[in-house]
Amino acid sequence: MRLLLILLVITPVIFTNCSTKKMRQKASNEAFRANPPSAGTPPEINLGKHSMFTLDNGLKVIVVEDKKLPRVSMQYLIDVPPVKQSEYAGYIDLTAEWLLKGTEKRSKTELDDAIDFMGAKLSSRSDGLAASCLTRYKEDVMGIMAEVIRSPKFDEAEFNKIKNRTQSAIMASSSDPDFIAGNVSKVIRYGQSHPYGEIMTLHSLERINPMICKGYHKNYYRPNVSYLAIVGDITESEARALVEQCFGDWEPLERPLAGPKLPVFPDRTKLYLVDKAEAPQSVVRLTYPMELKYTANDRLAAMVMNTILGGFFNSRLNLNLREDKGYTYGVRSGINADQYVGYFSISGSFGTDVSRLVVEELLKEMNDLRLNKVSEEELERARQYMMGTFARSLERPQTIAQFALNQARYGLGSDYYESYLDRLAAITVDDIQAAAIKYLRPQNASILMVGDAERLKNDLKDLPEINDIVFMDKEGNTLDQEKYILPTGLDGRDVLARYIENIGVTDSVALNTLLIESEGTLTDIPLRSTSWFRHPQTMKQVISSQGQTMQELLYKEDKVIMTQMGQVQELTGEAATDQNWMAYILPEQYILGSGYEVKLKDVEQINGKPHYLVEVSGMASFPVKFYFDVETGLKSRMSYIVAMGNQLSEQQTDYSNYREVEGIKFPYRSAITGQAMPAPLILNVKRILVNPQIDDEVFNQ
Amino acid sequence: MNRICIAAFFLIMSLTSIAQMKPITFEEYTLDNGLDVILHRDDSAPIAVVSVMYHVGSKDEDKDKSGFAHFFEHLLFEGSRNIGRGEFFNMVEKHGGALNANTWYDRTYYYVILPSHRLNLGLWLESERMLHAKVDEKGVNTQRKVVSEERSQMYDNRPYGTLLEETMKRAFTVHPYKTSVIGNMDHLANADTTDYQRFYETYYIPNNAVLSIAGNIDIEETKSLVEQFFGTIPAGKTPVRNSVVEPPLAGEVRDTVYDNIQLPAVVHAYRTPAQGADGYYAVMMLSKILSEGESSRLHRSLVDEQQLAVQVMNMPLPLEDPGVSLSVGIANVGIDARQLEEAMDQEIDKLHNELISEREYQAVLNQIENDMVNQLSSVAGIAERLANYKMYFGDANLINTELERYKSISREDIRKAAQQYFHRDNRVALYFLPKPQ
Repeated sequence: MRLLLILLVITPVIFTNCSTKKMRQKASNEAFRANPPSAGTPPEINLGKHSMFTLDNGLKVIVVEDKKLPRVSMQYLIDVPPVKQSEYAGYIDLTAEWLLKGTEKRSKTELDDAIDFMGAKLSSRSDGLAASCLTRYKEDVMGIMAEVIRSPKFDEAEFNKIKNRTQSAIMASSSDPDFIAGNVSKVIRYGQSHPYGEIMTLHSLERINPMICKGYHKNYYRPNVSYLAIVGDITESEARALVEQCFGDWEPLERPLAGPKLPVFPDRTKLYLVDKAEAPQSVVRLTYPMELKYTANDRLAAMVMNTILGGFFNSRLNLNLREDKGYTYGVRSGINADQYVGYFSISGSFGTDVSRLVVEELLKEMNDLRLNKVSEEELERARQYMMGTFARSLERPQTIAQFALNQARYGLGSDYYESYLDRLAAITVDDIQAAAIKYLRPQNASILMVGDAERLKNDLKDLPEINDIVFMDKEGNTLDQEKYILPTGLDGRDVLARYIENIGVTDSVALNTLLIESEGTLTDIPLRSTSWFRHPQTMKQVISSQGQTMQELLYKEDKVIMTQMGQVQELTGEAATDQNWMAYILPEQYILGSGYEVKLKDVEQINGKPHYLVEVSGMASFPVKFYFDVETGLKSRMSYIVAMGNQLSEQQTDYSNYREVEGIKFPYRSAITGQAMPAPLILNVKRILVNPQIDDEVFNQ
Repeated sequence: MNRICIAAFFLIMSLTSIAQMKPITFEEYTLDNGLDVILHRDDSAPIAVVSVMYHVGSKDEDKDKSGFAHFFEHLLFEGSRNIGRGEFFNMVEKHGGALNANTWYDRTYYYVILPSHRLNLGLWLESERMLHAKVDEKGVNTQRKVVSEERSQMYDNRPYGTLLEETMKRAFTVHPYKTSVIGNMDHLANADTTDYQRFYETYYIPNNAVLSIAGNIDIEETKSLVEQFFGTIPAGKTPVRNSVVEPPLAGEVRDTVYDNIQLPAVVHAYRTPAQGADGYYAVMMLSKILSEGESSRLHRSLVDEQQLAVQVMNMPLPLEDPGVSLSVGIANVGIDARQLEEAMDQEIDKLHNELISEREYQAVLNQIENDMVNQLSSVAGIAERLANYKMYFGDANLINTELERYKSISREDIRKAAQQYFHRDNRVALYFLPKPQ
């Protein structure tokens, strides 16, 4: 037995699966494993030390010495109330970026070279700058930071570069639903007239000029409204000497500073929709502003309440929507204090098909915390989690600097953090309910969803808790809702008739034959398409590339003949009927004269504009959908099913860029997308001939 | 029984240092069952991290089960013989801890950070996960949905979110790196109990893992806890690795992807050596030269001087088999992909033809040193670095000495690597273009 044991130890790889199983079983059964082990003695939690001093010019400096790693970080913070930027929204950000583009002493190139050579980091944001470096470079980096803050070059060529790049960055982000949700939720929460509700747009960016930025810098980058926090491998006396040297002779400027007014608080719960067509998920933000100052007596109770609701993995929202229902990768809530106006927010991304259930559950969880007390156990779990989070945060010396900064800025009192754990221990289940009643407002919330607006509108329309549905664009501007309500007294045939009239086809201007030549590309391959139409129902299309015919389509009588790379396929019967309506010069006119069912189904959004959806049934074995711009009456989209070999495949054609030829409007650009296509096919019309002579031979096979 | 064999452990105390920095001291040994253990003491905060790195990632999946390794990571939070569904997170959080895991092509990493007096809880939880994890039907079905939402959120519904996936599937023809870690949602629907069992028995075994513990711990006490919780877990068969060797790219692979984006992006994925292999460090340094900081070559030339791009970067993927280094540029408004690509190529051509300057070379070393220092700013970071160096390089002490490897690379080596790897026949060139409206 003993021998065997030794063998096992030396050559574990020879175990057969079976004996491994037995050993696993044996280990599994060891008694000590059955229950979690009991705790040792809790370690003492010590808050690190900081020192603070103020220069004669008013610059307040916080120093936290930490020798563990050979590095130093510096944070410069401007502590002024938010400034209203109005139609120039974004200029404060641009100012911060401009600072990094050169100083009076160094060009941008020299500045970048110096920072990168040291392996250091220097960045800026609207309320200040941050830098970090290896200990041996701390003097150089602080010197550069002071130069950047105090004597930027403000080169106008660099300013224009920033504007160009910012324009691209806004565009790059404009298809990111999280970015959109972040922007629009700010607008919804505070309103466009509150400084917190201002977002940079392409329009506001356009208006920003160098003067405003220089003005902001001159007035607000001043020592008497600023903090400098220095953390790491540096002593207080070293820091003091360095700061004095770099910032000692910086001129202060006193100016009156006023905080913003309170925003308007929502009087009922509304749903806001931003369209991202066919998005697989909806990005959801439930939010509202509220008065919650850092010094509020019940702030800690509100934070614990929020932890229970959505502040950690085991929160009610996450357990319900992720772990029980699998609707999301994760959902969180946050309750945020602020000197002027705080806010509450729930955020997550959820499958489009469960949006209604998600809204119901969010509101239900909020109500539940208001109506019922949490259990002692649930409170204890959240409390312990927060205590642990506090202890973990102390690993970073920057936390101590942050604590000192918060105490100074918000008047938190000198024992605020020392007493944090004791105060946390004293929170009761009654405190939690009181905080929920005060701060959770399911009746006065704004619920933003960035996703497939059409589906969301239909899925969410009769929720009892929702008073209104507001459509918004990506910048938080309200879209005219009226346009999305189906008008009474209008039917599908009216919409078709209006289209025919609007493109200019009348009894006197008729279309008998038509030739369209277009060019385009499909996955980099240049294509040319030529289509001939003859009234009523004959059509031929030839698609070629670099002189070679790739595909021919002939719609003639009741047949559809497809020739692809020499292979001929003929569709007859239903397969042909399903497609040969496309051979009409104006299918809409043909439909009007037919007995098919024509229904005005809905008003949907395409490219941010309302469109009538007209569905025609009976013409093919599946309904064909037409979309007409409500405003112009022109057709923007058609969606249908085509046969590709033996497979049925959805296809969609988008029309745009209408131009007039001999009094009739034609779309000069069409984009065809489909399940069976490797990439979208974009065709741009090169030539259109109205009522040309077409040789009969064209329509011969 | 394992107690008898304590002498068989081998111990290493690490004392080597890199310039200016206090070395990270640690103890390293292997249990009889093959589990590598690394212990690092750091008393600066009252916390401890317990982590286990399993040498299994998406590259070990069956072809028709792509995404399985990551899905399995989700399942391993579902519980064990002694831990009910949902209790894994609960036990950690209600004791003030935090936990998470992540899956990569080559490995899966789990960690728990706890107040240091709950170190034993962390060890117990990880031993439960290694010894007798358990998952029920509800757990499987829920996590399948969660992972599908994860995929939508992180990949499909995010601009450029599928960039890596689209690139890798063209950069590899036979090697499993060609499939993304998140994988195929349909494949996950087909995975069943037998698959879970087999995957667990094959890879979640002590002799395929590194247990890395760091923080406010007593080394001797921790050793005996490790022995108690992990010592009797039996070793398994050494996993047989899928040893697919990817042939060289037979010329440039070029393609276009249409996505819900506004600005075109150009991706160049150059095939590069495996982590630690010849040429690897030079490739890492090339990345800094190309895109670290505003003065880096791609940034200065494309973003600043020519204003062709809103963003550029070069990212070598850390992989244990030969991998790729990705250059990505996102075009400015009005700039087309081809224009941007030409400018990217010009910068690469310069690296072929001229040595980088002495100053650039020194800057790169400073940047790497700075990165290395920053990676040591948390015990969680240290535990992961140690496990990483142990698993991939067989040498945890690289946490102290890796900088020397970088210093041994010369400017000539860097040029040679640029010539050898960063050339057209050795890359995938991918255009990401806006889907037409």
